[in-house]
Amino acid sequence: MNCQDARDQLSALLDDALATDERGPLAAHLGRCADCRRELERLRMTVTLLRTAPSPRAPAGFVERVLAAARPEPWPRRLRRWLFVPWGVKLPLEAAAALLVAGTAVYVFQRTPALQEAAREPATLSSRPAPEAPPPSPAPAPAPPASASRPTVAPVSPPPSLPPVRREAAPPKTARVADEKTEPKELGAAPTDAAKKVAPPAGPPPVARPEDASPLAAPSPAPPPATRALGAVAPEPAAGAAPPAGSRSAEPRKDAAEEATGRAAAALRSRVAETDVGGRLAVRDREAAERALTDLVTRLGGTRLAPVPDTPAGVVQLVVPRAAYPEMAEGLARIGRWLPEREPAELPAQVRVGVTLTD
Amino acid sequence: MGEGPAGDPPDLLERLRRGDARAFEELVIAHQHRVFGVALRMLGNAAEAEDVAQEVFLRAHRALAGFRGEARLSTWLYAIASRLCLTRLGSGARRFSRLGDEALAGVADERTADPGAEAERSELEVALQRAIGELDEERRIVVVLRDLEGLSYEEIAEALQLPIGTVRSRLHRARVDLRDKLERFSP
Repeated sequence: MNCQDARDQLSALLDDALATDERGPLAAHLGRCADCRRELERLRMTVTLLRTAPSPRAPAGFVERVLAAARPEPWPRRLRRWLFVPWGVKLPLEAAAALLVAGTAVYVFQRTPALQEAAREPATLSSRPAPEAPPPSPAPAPAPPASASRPTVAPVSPPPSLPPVRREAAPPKTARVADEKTEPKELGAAPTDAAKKVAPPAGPPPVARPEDASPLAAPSPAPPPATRALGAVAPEPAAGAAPPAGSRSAEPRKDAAEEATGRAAAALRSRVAETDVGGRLAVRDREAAERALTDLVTRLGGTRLAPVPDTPAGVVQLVVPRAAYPEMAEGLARIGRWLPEREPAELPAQVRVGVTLTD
Repeated sequence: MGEGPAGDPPDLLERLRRGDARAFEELVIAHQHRVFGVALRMLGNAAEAEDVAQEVFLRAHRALAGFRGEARLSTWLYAIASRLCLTRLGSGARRFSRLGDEALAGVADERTADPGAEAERSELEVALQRAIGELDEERRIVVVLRDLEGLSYEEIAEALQLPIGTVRSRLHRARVDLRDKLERFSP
């Protein structure tokens, strides 16, 4: 055995890891070779040195950190628990959501000049045509408050003219805010409604709105046909209306949902500043027609309401006593082609008529 | 600590396989210094060592259900530790020669000593860690497992999945390399 081979086995010798048949030859060589013996000793000392090296110890807290990291379950479970939080957390969350929607409405309102204009209009909105939608106004009132209430914001159809839009401001706003607060669960839909607001709305039956709006309605005088009010609303005014009415509807909100559908028309009319009857009057000469209208209404013992600042031209609001209404209708028919778009089955003592003059 | 002379207590193994949290905690406590020690010696800095050490236990935790107990728990943990360290080193083929005190940050010698001996030992420790760091990692792991952790050739062969002959030759090479660097400290 040469020295190189011998030296290669020295570690094994130190560790008592030599194969049986290796021991003899190596021992023999070492007996003869001082150099290799020296090598063995050097190696032995190195190993001894290594073995006296301090043993590292894991840092403090290591075990805790490992155990913490080894717990995979908790967070998904924790997350699940958080998602299905107890009532104590749910309600405040919903309230917060309601505030969020209201806040969004305010934001939109402030961003939309048209809305602000609409809001500035006095509560007692002069009757305005607001036609389209469901002709038979008030009679309905059945509409499921819940579902209908929410879409208050969503306008039924594009308002024929601006006035209707503006007028809607009052009732819809209150209704809408009320809805938001009464139906926390439907808040989820509120944002969607907001979206609908801006989009061309298909509009649910305005009918329902009256119900909602009634208890909340801002104390606007004139009894406007609920339906019309709600139906004609364009998105913007509604949105704009929300903020102002917010505070007012705060309390009555609960009533909205509980209000019997039958309560409707009459109650609404008294609260909402709306016209009872609305229609279009097609004439050839608007100025002449307006003069004729004024004469007519005066003759019948009624009054023509002063146009409000942002009343678009072509809309006239008249108020006549119930008894005189038939004659009024006849008179309108003589002035031009009278197309009533909304006529409640039951007229109030003072009938407010919104006449939209068209060509 | 959970390991009898003949191996690991069977009930501990059973509890571990079942996912007994307490058993796992016992495992970590029993082997934390070993696992951390290997990582520290191999990687050269305490932060990384702890990182790897924690990973070793987490992997073990995940694989406990399938641990058949053919090897001792410690050997199994050393195997995971070695593999992780080599992987981490392999990606950078790192050699650390200037470790200084950083390498010893995780080393807390529990032996009390007089200042003189303390200083001597410190110097030795620094030199030792530096010398170990200069070794080729394949040799480094073997000498760490053998001379610093006390594993047998068979255990090392099992942990590293190497033939015993390879363990032997690598170990010898490592020791020879170290001898030249540490000789001045020899008593």
